[in-house]
Amino acid sequence: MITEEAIAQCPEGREGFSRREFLRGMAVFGGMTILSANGIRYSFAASSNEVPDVVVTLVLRGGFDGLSAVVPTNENLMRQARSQIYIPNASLLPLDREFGLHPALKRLLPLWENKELAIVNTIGAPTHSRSHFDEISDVAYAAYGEKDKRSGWMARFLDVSGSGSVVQSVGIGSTTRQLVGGKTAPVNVNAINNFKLDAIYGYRAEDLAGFIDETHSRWTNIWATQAKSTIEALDQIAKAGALKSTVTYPNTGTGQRLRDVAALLKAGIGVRAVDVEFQGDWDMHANMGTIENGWLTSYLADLAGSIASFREDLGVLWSRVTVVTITEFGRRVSQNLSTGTEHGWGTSTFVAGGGVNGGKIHGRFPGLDNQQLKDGDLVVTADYRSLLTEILTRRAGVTAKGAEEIFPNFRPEVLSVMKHLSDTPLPDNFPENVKNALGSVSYDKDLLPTAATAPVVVNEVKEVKKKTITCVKKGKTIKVTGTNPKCPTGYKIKK
Amino acid sequence: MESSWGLGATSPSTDPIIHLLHRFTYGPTKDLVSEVTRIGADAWFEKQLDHLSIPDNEVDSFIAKYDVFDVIHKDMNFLWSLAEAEGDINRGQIFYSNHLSGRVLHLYTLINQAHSKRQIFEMMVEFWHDHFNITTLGDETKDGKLDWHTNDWNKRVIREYALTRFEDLLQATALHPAMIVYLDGELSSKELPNENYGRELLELHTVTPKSGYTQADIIEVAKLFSGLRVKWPERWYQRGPRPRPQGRTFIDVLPFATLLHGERQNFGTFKVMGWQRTVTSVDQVLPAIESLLSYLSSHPETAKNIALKLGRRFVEDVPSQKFINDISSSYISNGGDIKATLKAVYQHQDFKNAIGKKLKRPGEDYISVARSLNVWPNFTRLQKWQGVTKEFGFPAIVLYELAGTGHSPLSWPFPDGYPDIAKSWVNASHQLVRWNIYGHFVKGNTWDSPTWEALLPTRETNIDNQINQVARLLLFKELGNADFTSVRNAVLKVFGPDPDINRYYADVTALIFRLIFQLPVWSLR
Repeated sequence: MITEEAIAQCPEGREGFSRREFLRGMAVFGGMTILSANGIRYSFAASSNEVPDVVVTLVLRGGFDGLSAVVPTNENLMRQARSQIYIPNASLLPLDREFGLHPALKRLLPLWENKELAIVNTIGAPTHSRSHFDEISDVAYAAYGEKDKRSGWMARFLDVSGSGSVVQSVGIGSTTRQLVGGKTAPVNVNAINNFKLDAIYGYRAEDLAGFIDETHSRWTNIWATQAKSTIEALDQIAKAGALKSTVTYPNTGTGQRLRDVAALLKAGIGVRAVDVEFQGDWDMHANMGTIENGWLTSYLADLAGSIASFREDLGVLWSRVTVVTITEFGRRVSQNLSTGTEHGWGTSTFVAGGGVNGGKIHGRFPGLDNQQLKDGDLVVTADYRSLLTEILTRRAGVTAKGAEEIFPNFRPEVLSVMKHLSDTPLPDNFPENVKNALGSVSYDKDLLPTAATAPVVVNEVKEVKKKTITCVKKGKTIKVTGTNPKCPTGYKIKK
Repeated sequence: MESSWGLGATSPSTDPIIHLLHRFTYGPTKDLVSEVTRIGADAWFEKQLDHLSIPDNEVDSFIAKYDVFDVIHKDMNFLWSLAEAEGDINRGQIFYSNHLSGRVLHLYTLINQAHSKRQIFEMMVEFWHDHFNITTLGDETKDGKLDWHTNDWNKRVIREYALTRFEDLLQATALHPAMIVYLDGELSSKELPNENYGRELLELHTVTPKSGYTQADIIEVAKLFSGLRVKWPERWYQRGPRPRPQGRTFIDVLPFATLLHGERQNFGTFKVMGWQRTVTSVDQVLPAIESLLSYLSSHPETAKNIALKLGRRFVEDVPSQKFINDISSSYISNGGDIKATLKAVYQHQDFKNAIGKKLKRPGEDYISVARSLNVWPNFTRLQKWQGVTKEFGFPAIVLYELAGTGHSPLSWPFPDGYPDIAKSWVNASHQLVRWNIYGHFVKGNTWDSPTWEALLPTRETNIDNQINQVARLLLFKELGNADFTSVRNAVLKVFGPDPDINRYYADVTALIFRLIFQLPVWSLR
C-alpha cells in the first residue's frame, strides 16, 4: 500500500531524527528495578487502584499554525517573517514573558488561569516531509520505522488498556485513522442523535437489529465484525443521545461534536478514548484573514469556545478527562505572498483536563532566527509521542511496558505536562455510573518514566552565534551585528 | 479484503460473468447478464472499451427531460451569463452558495452510473476523478472560484480522456483551470511559486515518493508552472470580481480558459529528477511542460502507481507484487494506453481469483441497489433555489442521502481522492447509514418506487418461492439454508405464520428485498 511503503522510502524528509539503536534489556520482575525494552530504569513502590482518564484527541487537520495561536512576543522577528499576518503584542493575551495567546482564543484563558490548560512547545512528528497525506497517516499510526503499520496508536492503546465496552473508542468526524486496526472496531459517528436503525413495515428496529446480528455472525470479515459492534453500539449510544445538555456550545460542527462527547462520557458506557476531528481545514495557504475576523480567527474562536463549553458541560467528570490537540505539522515561519503560510514542521499543542500541570508553557521553543530554523520551519524539540506516552501512562492506566507496545521503538522524553493519577484523587461527588464504566487501573507512579530520566534531544538546536561585519560606503564605515548580518543597500562589506 | 462464511450462509456467486459485472460495472442486472451471456465476456469487454459506439438513448432522453440539466457540462462563460441574468455580478452566488452547477453534475454522475450503457467508461470516469481529485463543491479556501470550472473539467478533461492515453489525460489535467484553481496555481508568482501543484503532480498524479524525488524537484515544477493562470471572463475584469492581471505577455493555452502570463513565468534550466530543459522564452514554456509531463507519464514508478490503483479498484485491496509488475509492464509497452492496460487487468489471473474480495464503497452500494431495482431519481418535487428565479424539479434529497454515507460523488475534500480499501469504509456510522438507505429504496422515498411485478419473473403467492426469486434477481443464486430461514422467519414475524401475500404483496416483497440487501454478501462486489 502506497502510504506505508512511502513512509519507508520517501526521500524528502526522513532525516528529521537520527535513528537510534534501542537497548534491548531484559525485564527482571520481582527485583528492585526493571530495565525495560527502551532502556529506561524503573524502581518498585506501592501501587494503588485508580479510575483512569478518558483521552480525547482533537485533530486539527490541515496543519495547525502554532505561531498564530501561541504567539512569540518577539514582535520584530514576527513582523519580519510575517509582515501581513503577524499579531502585534498589544493584541495578545499575555501568557508569560515570551508568549501571548491569539485574542480569538480568549475563552481558553479561564482554563489557563485555573491551571487546567497547558501548552507544549515545540511538538511534532519525527518526519519532516511536509506532505499532508504522509504525515496525517503517520501521526495516526505513530509507528515509525515499523514495516507493519496496520493500526492507529489509539487502537493499540485500547488493545493494551481498554474497558472492553463496544463503545470504548469513539470517532467523531470523517477521518479517524488513530482508531483503526485494533482488536475491537471503534464506533464512528457523525452525530449521536443520527445513530439509529429505521424500522420497516411493522418490522421493528430491534427485530431488524437481531436479523443483522444473526446473519452477520455467519461471516468472518471486517464488515461482518463491524456489524456486530454496530448493533451493540446502537443501544449504548442511545443512552447518551437521551441526555440533554444545558450548556451553550459554539454553533459549529466542532461544538456539536464536543457536546456529543460530553454526553457519551456522562452516559457511563465505558468510553475510554475519543478521536474528534475539528470540523474545518487548517491548511491556510491563502487569505488567513485578520485579527478581527476571517478564516483563522473564526477557527480559533471555535476551538477555544468548544473546549471551554466542553469543560463546563463535564463538571466533575473533567477531573478524569484529558483533551489534546493533534495535527500533522506546523507551518512555515515566513508567510507567503497570499497572506497564508506553507507547510512546516513544529507547532504548539494544547493539553487540557483535570490532570494537567496547567498554566504553563512546557517544552523548549527552538527559536525563530534563520539559523535556528530547518528549511524555514520551526524545529521539533519534542516528539508528539512523548506527550502522548505521558498522557497514557500518567493518566490512562498504561504501564511503561504497554507504552512500548503502543509506540514501538520509541524512547519517550519526560515532559512533566501531566500529573500522576495517584496525585489527583477522584472527587467525592464523581458519579458512580461513570466510575463503574471506566473501571480501575493498578497505578504505580514509580514504575513510570520520571523527570530524572535524561531528556532525549530529538533534534540538536543550533547555538546561535552572532557575528559582526564592517560595511563601507563612500568613506562612511558602519558595523552590523547579527546572526546573519548583511550590509544595508549601498554599502559594501569590508573584508 | 478476506472473507469466510459458515454453513448455511449465502456466499458470493462464483459465475465469472457475475464477477466481471461486479467489478467492471456498477452492478450486474438481469439484462446485462443476458447480454454478456449472449455475446461472450471478451466481446462485451471490447465493446465497452469502444464506449462512443454504444448508444445511450435512455440516459440521454432522461437528461433532456429536466430543465435543471441546462447547466450540465457548461463552461464558465455560459454559467457566468446565467449568474449575471440573475443579477448576481460579484461571485455568482447561485453557484457559490448553493453550488447548483456542482450538484447537477453530481446527479448527472449518479444517473449515468446507474443507467448508462457505457459502464466501464463510467467506472473509469470515477477512477480518474479520484486520481486527479478536485473537490467539485468548491471548498472555502477557493472562495467559490472552483465551481465555475468543475463541469467543464468533468466534460473536457475526465470524460474526454478517460479511455485514451494516460499522458494525454495528464496534460489536460495540468492545463485546465480547475486544477490551476484547486492546487493554488492562481496564487503563484515568479518569486514565490506555489508548491501545491508541484507536490501533488509528483506525489499523487505520477511517480509517488517511491521514485525518490526531493523538495528541490517540487520547487522546480512549481517554477516551471508559475506562469499558468486562469483566463477569467473579460467582463469580470471590467466589473471587478477579479483584478486584471498586470503585464504585457499573455498566451492562450488552448483549448482551455487558461493563460500563460509571461511576467509571472520563471526561465532558465529546469531539472526534475532525470528530466532537464532550458527555457529562455515564453513560447518555450508549454513545450517544456509537455515534455516534463511526457517524461513523468512514462516513468516506471508512474506505471506502478497506476497499476497499483487499478489493482485496488478492480481486483483486491492489496494487489500482489506480480500483478503490479505485470500491469505496469503492459502500461509501459502500450505507451500508457488506458484501454490496453485495462484489458491486461481483466485478463490477469489475479482478477479471475478475486471473487468476493472487494467491499462496495458506499456510493457503489447505493448505485448497485438502484440498478437492481431499476429505479430513477424522483424529479417530481420542485426545488426552489435561493437566488434563482426559476424553480427546478430536483431530487436534492438523493444528494443529502449520499452525503450521509461519506461518499458524495466527486467530493473528497483532499487531493488524494476517495480511499479505495475496505478498511477506510468500515465503521459504525457508514454501516448504519447504508442499512437505513436500503429501507429508503424499497419504500421509494428518494428514487422512484420499485415496480415489483416488472422486476420479478412471476407473481408468487408462496412465501418460499417469493424469497427465492428475489434472491436470484439480486444475487444471481439461491440463499444459503440458514439465511433463507432468517429471512423467512422475519417475514412471518410481521405477516403471521401463513402470510396472505396476495393481499400484502408490495409490503411483503419490499421487506424481502430489504432483508436480502441487508445480508453480508450484498456488501461485496
